[in-house]
Amino acid sequence: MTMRVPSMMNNAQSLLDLQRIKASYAETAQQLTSGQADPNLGDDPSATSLVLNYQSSISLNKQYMAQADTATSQLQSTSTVLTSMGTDINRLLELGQEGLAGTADASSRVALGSEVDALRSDFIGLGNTEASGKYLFAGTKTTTKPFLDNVPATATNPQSVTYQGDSGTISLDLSPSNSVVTNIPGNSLFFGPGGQGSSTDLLAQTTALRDALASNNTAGLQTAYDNLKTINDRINVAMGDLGGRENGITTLKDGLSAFNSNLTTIQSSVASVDYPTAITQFSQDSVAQQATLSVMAKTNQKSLFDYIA
Amino acid sequence: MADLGTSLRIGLSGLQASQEAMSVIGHNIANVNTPGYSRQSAVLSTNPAQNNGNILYGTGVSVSAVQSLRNQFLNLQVTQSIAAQSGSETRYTGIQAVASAFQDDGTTGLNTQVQAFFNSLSTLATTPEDTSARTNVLGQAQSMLTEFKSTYQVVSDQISTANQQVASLVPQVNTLTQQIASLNTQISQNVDPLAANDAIDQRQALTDQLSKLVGVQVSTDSQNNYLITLDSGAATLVSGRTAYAMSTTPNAGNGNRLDVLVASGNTPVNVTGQIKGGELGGNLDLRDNLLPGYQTKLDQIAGSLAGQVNQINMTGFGLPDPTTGVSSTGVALFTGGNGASTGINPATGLAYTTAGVPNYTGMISALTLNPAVTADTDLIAASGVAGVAGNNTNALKLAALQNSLAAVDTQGNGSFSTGPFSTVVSSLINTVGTQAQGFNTTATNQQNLTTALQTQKASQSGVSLDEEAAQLLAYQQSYQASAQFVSTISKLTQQLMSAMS
Repeated sequence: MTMRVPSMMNNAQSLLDLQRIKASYAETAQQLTSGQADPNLGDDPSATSLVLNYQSSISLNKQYMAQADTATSQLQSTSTVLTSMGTDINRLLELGQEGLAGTADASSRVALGSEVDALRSDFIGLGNTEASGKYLFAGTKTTTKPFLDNVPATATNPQSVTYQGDSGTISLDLSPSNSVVTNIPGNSLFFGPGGQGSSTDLLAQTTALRDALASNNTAGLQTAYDNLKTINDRINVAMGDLGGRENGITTLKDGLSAFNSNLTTIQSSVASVDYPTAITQFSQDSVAQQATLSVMAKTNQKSLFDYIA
Repeated sequence: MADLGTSLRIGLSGLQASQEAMSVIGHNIANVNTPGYSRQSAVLSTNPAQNNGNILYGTGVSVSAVQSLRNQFLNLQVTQSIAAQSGSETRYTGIQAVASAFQDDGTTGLNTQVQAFFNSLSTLATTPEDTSARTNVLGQAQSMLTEFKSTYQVVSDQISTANQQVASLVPQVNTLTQQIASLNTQISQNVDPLAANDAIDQRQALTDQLSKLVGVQVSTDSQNNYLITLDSGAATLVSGRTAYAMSTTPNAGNGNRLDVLVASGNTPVNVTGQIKGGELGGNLDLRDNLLPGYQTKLDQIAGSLAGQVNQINMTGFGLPDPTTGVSSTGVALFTGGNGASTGINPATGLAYTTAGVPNYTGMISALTLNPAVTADTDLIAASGVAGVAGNNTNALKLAALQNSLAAVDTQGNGSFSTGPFSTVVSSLINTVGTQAQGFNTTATNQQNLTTALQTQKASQSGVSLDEEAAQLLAYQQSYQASAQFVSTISKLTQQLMSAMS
């Protein structure tokens, strides 16, 4: 059957087709110029929401990476302090050994004692180390100077050091299920399990060593020396623990960063325009537009009236 | 016997019929671009024969009718399709207008702002003693609120636009229904109501215009009157010679938005929720269902987020005073709540309407940062222990809110939807996009259907100039031939006359 094609019909259909082609043309052009696969919200809602979810995940991972960076820098500062402490304790033990040697006499011990006193001040200084505005060894009271040297000492009361921090630990989250402690509270590091003034107290034992050297008390010297050796072991263990934590964070951070670069790749594969496809589409639309225009111009040119004289 | 006079009349009838048929062709050609015009054709029939004894002589031709070629069933389908198309287009346009406000390119947008707020809380956890981290939390909280408010405002503006559209569409509907009713009168008064071609076409064109404005159902009665009701059947717009006027009245219970009424007897019928198709149906749906739905979601997310941040902040402790070492207990970070509040929920620090039942409606407009916190950032409770500056346990809890499942209390009654805040925001954005896409697809499909139906209708009823030209040639020839015949008969008569003189 031959279809009747009335004069208006041609125009209506061709016009609709032309509008469609122009719309597609404009959309591809927008994709190409914006570089986005779905420049408008209604283009592909499920892809849009995927992209947003990727964005959220990436942002969350960045937060964890930032926390890991902070944790690493805190642990590294702590680690530096511990290394200095180790050096100081080794010097302390050397001095103790010299004092205990048979060749030492009262006057040489006094000289040794003054160096021990310098090391003691050094320990207090290390205990009051600040990193990025925080006292490292004050527990969670990071704005309070943790160690206060009580000078002068009285004859009956050996020079003591007061701890003004607390024993709180500071944790940072490295993933929803994983957190790391970024500090060593000063009292546990310096005073040890025995607590302040006990045989495990680094500062008390240093004070005892100094006082024993000054007063030429070899028995006291021996006790202090032995206690300091035990304390040295404890500090070494603490350093090992710190190193372990740092390594753990580095591994986690590497994981996060690899995960993020994967996510970014996937996100961009969804969000960014596929240039070869878009350009092909663009030239197709361009051809279709030209074809439609010329067909419209041709078909509507003629009617039978043109031939009736 | 067939005398010369009879022959002359036969010739004359041929001339007249041809000329009348050509005038029908002229009418067709003139209306080639008239919307809704159905092509007409002259129906020629042989005149009754003259009986002369046992011989019957023909007496020529006459135009017995001018017929219009139309398919009433197709017409009604087109009407329905136009209503569905314009309804979907209106909904799509309305949603598309707000979609850009929901769009998130990773640097601006709701999702990004919510993320940035949680980022600032995470930074606070790394440096709880730092004032700049606290200032940053406040700044991000403010940006997030601003983003929520501006998105909400864009939707509100679109709702007012839809409401204004409703107001301007109603008089247009009334004009059309009145015209259709008067055409009904004209058509039904015709001797043959089915033969009032031009009036019928005009009425159909007006009905198509009407269905673009409002979804309708059309049926005809025995007098060929159009009976037009709303697509839901809730009210009659045109019945016979009567048009029932539409009117609007502000509804105090719906923010003084306009209710649509249709006159019916003494009491007008409220048809506000009963119009599906057409621009009016689309705008009412946008105004009362689609757009307010987005606002409800925004209110729920913002209210839930503010409430839960407050809840955690209120259990922690602020930065201790550097001299006294005393820290204050955390306070609500966000204040505000429902406009018609009757009290403050002690747990969330937000206002409520009915105790124990937080109502999120209108939450966003009322939410602000607590001025006490803006004045003193130390009140942001990063610490879980009183008087301790470096404790970050509460800040970690705040930052962890972004991951906690079941974060949004959608009903405001403790029944939580699943999903962390970031997902809830992106799922709202997804809803907006999906609805825009859905209505766009429907509109495109309806447009295809309308075009197909109109093509089919045009193929039956449309004027083809080629066809008219061919017809014109045929009638021109028959006119010329009849004229020749008349001239021949006239010559015979002259010869007869001259022979007699």
